[in-house]
Amino acid sequence: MDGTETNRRNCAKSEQQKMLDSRGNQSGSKDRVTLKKEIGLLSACAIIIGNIIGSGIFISPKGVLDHAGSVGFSLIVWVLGGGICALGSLCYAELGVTIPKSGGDYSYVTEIFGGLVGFLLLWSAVLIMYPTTLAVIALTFSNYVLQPAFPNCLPPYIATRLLSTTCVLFLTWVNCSSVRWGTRIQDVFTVGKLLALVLIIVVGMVQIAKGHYDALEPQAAFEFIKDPSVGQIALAFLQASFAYSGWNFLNYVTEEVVEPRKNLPRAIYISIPLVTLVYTLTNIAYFSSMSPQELLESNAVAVTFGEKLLGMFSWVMPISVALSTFGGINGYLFTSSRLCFSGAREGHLPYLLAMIHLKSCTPIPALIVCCTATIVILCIGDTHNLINYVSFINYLSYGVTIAGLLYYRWKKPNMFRPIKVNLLVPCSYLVFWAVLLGFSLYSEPVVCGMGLVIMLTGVPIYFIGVQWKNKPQWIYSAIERVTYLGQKMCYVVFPQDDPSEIQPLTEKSEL
Amino acid sequence: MTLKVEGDPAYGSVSGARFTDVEGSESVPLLTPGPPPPPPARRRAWKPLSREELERCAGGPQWRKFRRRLVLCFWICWMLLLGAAVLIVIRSPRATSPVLHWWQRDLIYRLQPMLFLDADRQQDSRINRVCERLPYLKSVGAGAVILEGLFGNSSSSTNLTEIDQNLGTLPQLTQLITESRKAGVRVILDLCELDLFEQESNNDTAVWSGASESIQYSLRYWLDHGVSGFGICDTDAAFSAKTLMEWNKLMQEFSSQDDERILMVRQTGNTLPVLNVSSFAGSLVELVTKSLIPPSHHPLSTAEVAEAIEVSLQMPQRDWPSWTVGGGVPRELNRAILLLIMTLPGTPIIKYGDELSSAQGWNRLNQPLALFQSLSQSRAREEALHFGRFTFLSFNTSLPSSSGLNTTDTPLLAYLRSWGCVHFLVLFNLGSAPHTMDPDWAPSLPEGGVFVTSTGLDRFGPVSLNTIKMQPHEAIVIKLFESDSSS
Repeated sequence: MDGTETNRRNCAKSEQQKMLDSRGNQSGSKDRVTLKKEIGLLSACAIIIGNIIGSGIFISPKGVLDHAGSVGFSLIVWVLGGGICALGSLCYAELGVTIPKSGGDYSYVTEIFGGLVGFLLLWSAVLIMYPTTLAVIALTFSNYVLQPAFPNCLPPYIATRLLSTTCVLFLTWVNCSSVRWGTRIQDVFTVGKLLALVLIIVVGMVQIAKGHYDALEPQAAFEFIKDPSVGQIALAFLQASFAYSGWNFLNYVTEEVVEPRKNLPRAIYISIPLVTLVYTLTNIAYFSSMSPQELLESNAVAVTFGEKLLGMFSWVMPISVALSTFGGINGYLFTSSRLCFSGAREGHLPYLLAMIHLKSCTPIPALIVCCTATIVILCIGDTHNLINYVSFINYLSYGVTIAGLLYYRWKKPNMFRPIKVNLLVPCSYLVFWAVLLGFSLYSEPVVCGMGLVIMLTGVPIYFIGVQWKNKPQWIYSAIERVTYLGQKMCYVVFPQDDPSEIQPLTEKSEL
Repeated sequence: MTLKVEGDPAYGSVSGARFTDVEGSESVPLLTPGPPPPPPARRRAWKPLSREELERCAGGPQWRKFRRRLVLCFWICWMLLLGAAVLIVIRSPRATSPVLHWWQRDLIYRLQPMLFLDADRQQDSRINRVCERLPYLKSVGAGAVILEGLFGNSSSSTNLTEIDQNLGTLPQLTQLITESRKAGVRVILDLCELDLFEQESNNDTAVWSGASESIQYSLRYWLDHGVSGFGICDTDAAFSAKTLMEWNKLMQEFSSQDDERILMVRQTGNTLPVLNVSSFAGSLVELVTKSLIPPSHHPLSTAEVAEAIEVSLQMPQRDWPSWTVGGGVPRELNRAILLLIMTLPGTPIIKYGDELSSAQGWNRLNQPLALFQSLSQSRAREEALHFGRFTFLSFNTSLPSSSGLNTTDTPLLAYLRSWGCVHFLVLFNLGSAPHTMDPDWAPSLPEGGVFVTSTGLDRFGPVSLNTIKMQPHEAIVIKLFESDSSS
């Protein structure tokens, strides 16, 4: 995505709005038409690929192999994981063009099922899911950065937390100061991680050409190290889905895609098979040089691979993984601030979170809230269970959103749908989703139950903060004062100058 | 909502974000307010500051100065956090790998050319048969080979340069040494139990001095031909401070940086006899080889083997010990003993053929055992198994058991090899019955680990230390997980 052009046009749009105030609707319509032409097919593919490929491919192979039980079956899990990812993407594509609102699945669920369900997703996402994901990726970044100094041991606990905090703070500042810088960081690090994967695949293919493929021979590939079970298979798919996460991020920019009816399915049909191919080839490369035993023993698969094959260039792997996680943090900060914006606009979050800087147009309050929550998660420290919780809630939100697609087909069959996928696609996805979610609950009942409890704590918050219309006057005064103070300190304002937009919205007193 | 004090508003020169592009349909809130608004006196509608209002209130120099100070505070805190992280990393202790000599890095083989019986039929010498085995020795990881029994009983100080004619000729032996060096395998000559210093009846010191000079001449001869060292026994007459000092000078004369010559002593008793000059004791001999199991006249039972091993392991060790099996062991314990030798600290010395553990004939020495290869690779790959710290673990469950049970139930053996944060747990069940671990047997160890290898070569993947069930005569190597790692 070319941030420079977007920024330039937005500035021009702002100027036009001032000069042509009398023709507000017409100029707005003209600007929207102009904005839609910014993302073509190639850019859409780049967005999908860039968001999917991340630190997961450097972390998940161990988990997939552990639960799949054999080399061959783990490769099958990777391929089928890509297939499930494609099904989900197609469903989201239809929702994206049917409900053209930013905010992704939160907006869809709110539109389809109403405010309470949408608020619960928003509550768990803003409170736990995004901060935890950011914390985990930041910890991965600091672990890989410190790996050269501590080859055999885990780095010191406090050092990793401090380094993760500095990383999150730095990227928060970058996103606060300029949208272009955030976009540039994203582009640079996407190239970095793709180069790392290409290097792994090329070196792996060279190994196979030399005849080193003992673990990949058919009879050796399907030697199971433990008896497979449906629960273990489900956990293997969950591990793979962590690496594939991010396929739904294109929905955040759906309305900017040129000819979405044609380009959106094409982008999905091109990008996700490509990612699946890259992931499967990467795993084949891993197995060409490491026995399954070695892969299970390694705490950092890519680093072990690099040490074995790259020789004096083995330092490339820790650096590539660190760069990949750095870009991942930047991407999640970008996305989570958009989600806060959508929630605040709907009245589910404080009004202040929807405001952007007067000059740089960056959502500073939303970024500050997300950064603070991430630092709190880093201080709490127990990220192991939180990772499982994030996967569970993530999968839960996918299923609820795609179930909403079926519900919409039933409730509003005649609604205009530029993209209409076959009914088998959402049904197939929901079958996989139910199986994986069921076995997650079966294998980790405490963690998943805790996740549901945290999500349900949002119900009273919703009724107190959002549904309660006749709040006392002092609450409104306090909200007003806090909002004014935040506006002055951060120099932020609501995005639209139109007076009709600034209507009194119900606010919740907490947060 | 409490704003962060380190909040970082910034003045970006580049503007533009898609937040400014809000479509008309998006601006309509999804939730329509249900009841009509209450009376105006009760509810006062407020709205956030508009662009002009914000510029008027917070655009002045005082607010601008305040925001710049906030940004400065942010960067100061950021620098402090980064500095603290770097300081913690720098001050953390790190385990550095020691520089090892070749005789500490490699496996050492004991080999008797006399045992190559099939050489007679093919009109070939036994030494040449050893020469043909060099690629095999290299493939199983041998870095050095100790040739035993080269010199016949008639050898004396005057003819140490002559070898037993039953084995081959002298040129064949020098050829073997040359070929060994090309293959990367060093040759050590074993001089144990040779009557080097003949006891003359008149006990003349001149004869002793002459014998010493003659021996040194012979040692110099072999060192010239590329021999990497010599081995003696602690019961030999050569094991004295005076002799070893002389030989040590000879070793240093022929040593270079990448080609050190060493002296080895095979320890036959429980303790090494103390040399007269104690200040030189540490440097006169590079390797002292201990026997795990003392020689005995009768085959040992498994209980006796376990007891002997436990006694050997609990003795204090020198800086760099060396281990060999020693006495005969029951056949069913061969694999466990092999795993023991390969996981103990120091240099393992393997008798030729031990790695097969079921020698049915010397003609079938074609493929090394998978267990030996697994152990050799693990040892080469893991620093903890190579030069890590050794910690013997005692089982609390053996204390309350009665003496009657001790005679029938062989206790488990366990020890740790540690290097930095990496720990390997080695477990042995030398008894003839399966043994389930007591869940509380290791309270200070992590919860789980991953199997590295076992004598049955049938254990893989992660394992919890509370659920291990050991088979008879089984030994297991487990790499323990870090205590706070998450999979």
